[in-house]
Amino acid sequence: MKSNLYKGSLSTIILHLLAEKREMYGYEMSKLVKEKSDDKLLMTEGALYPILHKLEADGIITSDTRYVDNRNRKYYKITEKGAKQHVLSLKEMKDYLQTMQNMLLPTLPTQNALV
Amino acid sequence: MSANSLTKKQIDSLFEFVSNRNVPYKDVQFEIVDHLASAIEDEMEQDASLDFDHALDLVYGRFPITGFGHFTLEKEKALKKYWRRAMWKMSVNMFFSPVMLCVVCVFLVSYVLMSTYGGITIIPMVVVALAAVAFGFYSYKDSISGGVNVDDYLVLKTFGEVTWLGSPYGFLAVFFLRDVHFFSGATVPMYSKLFLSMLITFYLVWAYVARVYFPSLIKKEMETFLKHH
Repeated sequence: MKSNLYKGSLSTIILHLLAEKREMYGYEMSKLVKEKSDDKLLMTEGALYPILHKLEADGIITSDTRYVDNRNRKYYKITEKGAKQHVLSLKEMKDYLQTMQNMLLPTLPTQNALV
Repeated sequence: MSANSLTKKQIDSLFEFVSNRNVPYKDVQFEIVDHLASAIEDEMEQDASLDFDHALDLVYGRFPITGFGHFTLEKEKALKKYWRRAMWKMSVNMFFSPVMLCVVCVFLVSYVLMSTYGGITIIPMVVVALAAVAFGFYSYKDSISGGVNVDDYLVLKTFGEVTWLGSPYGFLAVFFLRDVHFFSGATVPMYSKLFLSMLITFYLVWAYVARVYFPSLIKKEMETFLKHH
């Protein structure tokens, strides 16, 4: 999916992954998103890392560096502040999806939202 | 270590590849290298006939046309934001911690000195300037790096840029904020003395956080990072 539609949702997706998995590294996230979306969502490097760095600067996530497979690897974790943000983001997303459905596709049955 | 892990030599060649593409900072390089290496390992696992160089071409082709430049710029912005927030938060915390007693003392000493010496406030200013120079000697470059070139690490470079106010140069900026009548021998009004005392107090707190507190934390981080370099 190349559309801009999901660009604004990237941070919500990242927070959701980190809330589920406890800790992840950058490549692992992009791979998991690709797998979970059946290759429809491609979280490119150019989009993923700036968001990770921004979330880290805002104290939403934190990182820890470890030596794995001959190289340093940065693992990201969600913070307490991030966990609260995650709950809010999911609620916003649910409302947004519901509104879009009501506006554009009112005839479709209601789908199960993210939460 | 997984079966398809790249060798140390291949990882080194990735570092060279990244540094030749406009990424001079080692801390930025390691994040890109890990991403490239993980993606290459994945590609080679899926297609056993693929060699390292071809896998690298394949993976690099997925990066934007600007290569890694965008990555560095965005990280620089984020790090500056992080340091500004961290410095501000920690400086404010100093006013609400046991250190507050010292902070109050600095304020009182500044005020009393200015009141005692009246118009010739150049004397307490010189005292504070000397303290600032002492902080300057305790340079973050020396205290953090332990021989590492600060300009090689974006995290250190951005820290230095954000906290320049904690340096003696920063002090000079604070020093000249006030009216020139401080040098003239004229009587200084009370509100000016209070304001300047607060300014000096906040400056010293900021300098302490920038020169002593954060460098000790960064030094620990750097030691972990450099352990494998």
